[in-house]
Amino acid sequence: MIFSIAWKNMFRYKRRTLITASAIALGIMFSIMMEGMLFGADQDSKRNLIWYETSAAKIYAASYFEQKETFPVQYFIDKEQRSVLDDFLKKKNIKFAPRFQTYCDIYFSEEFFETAGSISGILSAVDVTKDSTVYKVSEEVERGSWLGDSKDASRDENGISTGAVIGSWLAKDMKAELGWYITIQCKGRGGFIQTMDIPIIGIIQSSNPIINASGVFMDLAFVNEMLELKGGVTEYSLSFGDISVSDKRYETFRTEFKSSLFSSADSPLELYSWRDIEADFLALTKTKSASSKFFLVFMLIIAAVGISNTMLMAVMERKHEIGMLKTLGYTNKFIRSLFMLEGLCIGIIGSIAGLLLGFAVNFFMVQYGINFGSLLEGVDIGYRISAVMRSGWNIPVFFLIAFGALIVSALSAFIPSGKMVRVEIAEIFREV
Amino acid sequence: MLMIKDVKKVYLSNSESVHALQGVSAEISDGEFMAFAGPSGSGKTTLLNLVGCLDSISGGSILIDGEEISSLSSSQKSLIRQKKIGFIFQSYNLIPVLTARENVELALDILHMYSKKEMKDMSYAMLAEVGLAGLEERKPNQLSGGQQQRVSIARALVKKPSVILADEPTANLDSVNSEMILQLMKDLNEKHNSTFIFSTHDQMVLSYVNRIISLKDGLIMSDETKRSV
Repeated sequence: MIFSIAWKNMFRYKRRTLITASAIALGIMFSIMMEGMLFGADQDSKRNLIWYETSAAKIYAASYFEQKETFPVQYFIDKEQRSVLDDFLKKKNIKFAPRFQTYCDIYFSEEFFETAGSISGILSAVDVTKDSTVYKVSEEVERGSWLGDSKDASRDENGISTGAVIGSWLAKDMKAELGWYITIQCKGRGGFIQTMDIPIIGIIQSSNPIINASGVFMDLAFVNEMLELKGGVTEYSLSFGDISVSDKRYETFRTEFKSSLFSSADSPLELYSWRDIEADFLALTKTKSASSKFFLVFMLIIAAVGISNTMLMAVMERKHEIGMLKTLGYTNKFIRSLFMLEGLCIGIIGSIAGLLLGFAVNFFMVQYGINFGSLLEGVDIGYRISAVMRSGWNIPVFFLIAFGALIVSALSAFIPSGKMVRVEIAEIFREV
Repeated sequence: MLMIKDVKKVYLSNSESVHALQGVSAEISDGEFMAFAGPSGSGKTTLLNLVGCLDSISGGSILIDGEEISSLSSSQKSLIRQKKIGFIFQSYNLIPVLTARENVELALDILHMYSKKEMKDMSYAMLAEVGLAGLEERKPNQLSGGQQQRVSIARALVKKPSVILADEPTANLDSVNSEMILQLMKDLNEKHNSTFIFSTHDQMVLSYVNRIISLKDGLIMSDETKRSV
């Protein structure tokens, strides 16, 4: 009987029920949209970090990691170590790409450019044969060619590329064109300053804003000569295959690496996962996740106030029915449950509608996303996403949001109905 | 048997004590068809509420079938109302989303004594008895005022209570419907030997009852029993 009355009561004031259910539905929809976008940004960021910046894991020379933010040029994985490391990684069937990375200043003069000036970047000297097995940077060339490609006109007689591929935002800031020469100044091994005049052979437009804003890529073989690296590199980037299984494979590899000779005092190399390298980023996403939870709670409070108000009106309008039910011997608990059930029913309708709307909006956001390209240029929002911001499907959380709304809907009827059932029956009928 | 012994009721209104009943005593036998009468503020509805366990007594005692109700807890009073008392209200107080049958079944459902089929059969029988055969599945807004009050009477009687309390049951009805309702209640009183107690100042109601206890300012002014009606 209680379910029947609660269900029928819900349709007593259809418009009011519709408005309340719609408010819940909109709240859920926006919460799903928000959660989906944050989840999508989070997932995209992780992907873009691994594909363009950190790879799944890196091997550094000892002491490099602690100073990695400054790109130090005194901790190298030397030529001899590299030879052993290459064999070890090949044996373990791990894809790897050696790199040398350092900060650089890029000077451009009026000879080619509209104005003279300088800009900072991050120079990555890459092994052109191996880099594309770990990173996707080479696939993101928007104009020109990648280092060592058949279209790369800067290659010398030994096939070594003497040009640079730069990020699109960097190119835009300099108003650079392909073939124009830039002067790159950076530290060589040991700290000496080297200056290189090199042509721009390619421009990258990737989905990682850091690459677009500061990426300068050159052939490791060329940089080895210019910066006197003596065959050494600052890091080995590793790939464990698909991102979904990457973390698990890393754990297995970490155990093997620890038991290898590289962890010994004679040959101290250190292995770090992308999570170790980007700990700051992960902390930031956690903070953003916490703020999204706050948003969810806020939405639930709004839903609670809305339903509470609806139920308060229902209770006030039906006080004589409450009195009548009490005269029939129905308990306060039963009457309270009746209203809570009614709130729950409104919540169910609102939640189903909210889920459907939320899924529809999220589907659009996953498929097409929102293009924040012009807004994100030059702005560091922490996430490694650029231009199109796409949502993700965090299904358990979406359902959790709807479930939260259901609970809130039921509880929102608790206070208004509780107040009325405590009034003496005679008092209810006296207030005509 | 209903015993009312020196019942007092004091309200607090704007921090002032209002003595609604100032020591009322009466004895009402089973099967009586009687009324508490009096002008507004005389205490007739207050007395009806106290007999119906709808309000708390300030002094004195009330016994229904020998059971003292003034000292009962809220849940014990609920049980008394469930089993022993039926109510008929001036404004019917039917639940608009339920049909006539479902409204009547409300009084049975709380007893947890009958199956769904039994409740349905009992409701149909009771509604037929009050002249609503064929209208059982109509909702209150599809019934006239008189028909709604008949549903309310069926709801009060279906559980076969010891006492039926009716507060101004004809106040919202025209004279033709009022007379029909009163005659119906009179017939049911005779048929089931249920005790009917009215609270009213309506002369038509008073012309139907066998006994009138007149109240004024919380005191019984007269207690008249008619020889024949």
